[in-house]
Amino acid sequence: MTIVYILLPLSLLLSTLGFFAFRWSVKRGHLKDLDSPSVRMLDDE
Amino acid sequence: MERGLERFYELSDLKADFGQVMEPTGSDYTWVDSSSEITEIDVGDLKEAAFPIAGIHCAGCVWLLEKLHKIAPGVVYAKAQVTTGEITVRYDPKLTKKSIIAQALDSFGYPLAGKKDQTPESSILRLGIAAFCFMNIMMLSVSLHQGGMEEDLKLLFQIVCFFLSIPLVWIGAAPFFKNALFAIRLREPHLDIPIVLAIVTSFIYSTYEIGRGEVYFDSIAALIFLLLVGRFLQEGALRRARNALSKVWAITPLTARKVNGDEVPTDSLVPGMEIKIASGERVPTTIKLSSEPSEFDESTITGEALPVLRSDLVEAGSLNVGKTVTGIVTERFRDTRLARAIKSQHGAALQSSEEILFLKNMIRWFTIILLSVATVNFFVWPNWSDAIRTTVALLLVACPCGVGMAIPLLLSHSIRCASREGILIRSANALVKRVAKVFIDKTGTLTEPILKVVSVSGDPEGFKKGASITPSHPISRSLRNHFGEQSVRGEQIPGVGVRWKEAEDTFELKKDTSERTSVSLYKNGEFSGRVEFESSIKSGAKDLSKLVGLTILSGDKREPVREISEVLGVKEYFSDLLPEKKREIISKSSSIMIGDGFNDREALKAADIGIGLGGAITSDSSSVMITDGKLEGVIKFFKARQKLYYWIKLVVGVSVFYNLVGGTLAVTGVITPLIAAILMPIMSFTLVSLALIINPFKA
Repeated sequence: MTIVYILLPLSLLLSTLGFFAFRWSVKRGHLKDLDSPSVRMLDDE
Repeated sequence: MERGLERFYELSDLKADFGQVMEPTGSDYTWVDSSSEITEIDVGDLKEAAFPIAGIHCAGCVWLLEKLHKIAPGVVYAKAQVTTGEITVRYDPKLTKKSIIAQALDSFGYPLAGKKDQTPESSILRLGIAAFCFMNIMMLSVSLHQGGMEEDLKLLFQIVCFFLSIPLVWIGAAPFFKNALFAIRLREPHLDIPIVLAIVTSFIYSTYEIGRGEVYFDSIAALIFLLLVGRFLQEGALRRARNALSKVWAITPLTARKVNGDEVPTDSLVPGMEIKIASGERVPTTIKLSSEPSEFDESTITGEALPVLRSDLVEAGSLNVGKTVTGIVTERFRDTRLARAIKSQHGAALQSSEEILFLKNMIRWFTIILLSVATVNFFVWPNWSDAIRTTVALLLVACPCGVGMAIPLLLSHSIRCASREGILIRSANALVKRVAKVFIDKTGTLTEPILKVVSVSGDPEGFKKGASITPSHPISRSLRNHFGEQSVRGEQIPGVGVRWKEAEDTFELKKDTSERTSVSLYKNGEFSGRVEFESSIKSGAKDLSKLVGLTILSGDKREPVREISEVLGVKEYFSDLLPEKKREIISKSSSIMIGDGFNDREALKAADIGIGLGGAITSDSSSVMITDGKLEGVIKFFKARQKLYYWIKLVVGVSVFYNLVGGTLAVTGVITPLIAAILMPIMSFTLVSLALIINPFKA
């Protein structure tokens, strides 16, 4: 079971990375407007 | 409640202690003072401003926020609205300013929302943090609950869970802590108090149990995360309702055309500008005509069915049915009567009216009962561990969402559905208030506003000409409708009729004094023709009288009122009533009044619920507006009321049942805190989605 002592920090590290990716996307405004993009693709331009 | 400035410093110290801990991003609100988004209006010596805020999600919040004047110095009164997400604050500019109020609101868990109606970044981020901690804790907890682990490993897992719970409680649960703190300071029960209590107790208990027994960090995580998700979704739904509500009113053009053909936004029009309105276009803001007179359909504003000839001022929202005109802007759009009507419509949904009172009372009792049961339970159990475990389970399982979230949401959603059907509801009260009597006006409401011509004798030319002298008179309108137009110069004989001359002959058109409405034509004093009228009953009148017991209130003569009552099967009716008398009869009991708004404005105001048929002119006197002026809309409204009554009873019944069963199971120790933490969000999610699925206005 000693493998857990490596796996546990590893899984935490990975999910922390995931969280910081999420934080980055929020700060960059990726989640600011969720309604318009679906409409915008219908534009010709 | 008199509170001096020193009270404020106590509070700001408090914010320094708790605020920094709970809100990692200390917000600076000094920009608010110079912001044009939050404008101040002078009210005597005081000022008033509307702050768009995030986090109003239930009746309890409205209620709490409206107590702002008790703690924030200089604030005279505050009024919160769920659907618009705004709080209107009246304050003394000598004692406080916008930025201080904004700061105070923020420290109670209601930060200013962005300029546009968006989810604040911080609440998405908070959800992200909660999700991260929640998922990791859950993963570790599954192994912990499965058992059979080595002691060292178990300890490690518990410690990791503990560290993961810290940001969850610190940041994720911050809004609950703020709300609860706010409520405690006001000595008012609020739903977040038991939630905070549950979080704190189970956190302390679990921390103590690390390395000794079982920990419940997973229940804390589930509770915080799911509550956050629930509130996030609910705020999204409210935001959508708010946006939909503002779209309903898109009857005025967003742009206007200047005389040189340039298109400009309506908002940018200022007095003095000259604009062009083509035939078939709506007038964007009040204008003074600078060209030939034209006919305008003003039905949206006044309810007047026929177009009116205007040569001077034309109101915003009028439809140009004549030729293209030009005019000079006299008012900005936001000052027009239409804009004011729109604004009052926006603030429609949940006001601090009576139905909120009944919800408030239920929330208050819910919190009080829950806290007392929890206290008793805590001391009844013989050992600490069981006492804490069952109390935590009880606090977690108790779900106030039925009255706290589902019913307010159901009402605001219904108002939104109604507006799609052309029924504009100003106060949610109109949907739930029980009344003893339903009064209805006759002329224009039960009957068509235009009289129907039933028999003609003599020369139609004479009637045509006579009608043109007093074109706005109801009889003239129906004559014009029937015979067409032909103008002639003449004079009015007040109360009798009209007179005009053609060559050597004198013509007179006089109203007869018979029971039936009729007019006679006289040529040089000799009778030469007659037209008889009848008021036709509107479609839907019979169905309406079958659906609800009506009482007719009419200013008309006894005979026609009796006739119509007989046709419709109405037992009670009053005739020959002056407006004051109408008002007197109405105010005797709790009542609904249905009227078409011209002569009924006083009566509509006197009733508990006034239903106005037609345009915006009734909007300031009635709480419900049927925009197309048809009785079918009234029927829909009454049917929706019946359905809502049933749904509200159901929601209350289900939540009472759930809480009784859940509470009993929790205090007897049958369900663990973990199961409680799962049950509660499922319950609130079910009720809230139920509220959003129901559309009482659909047949």
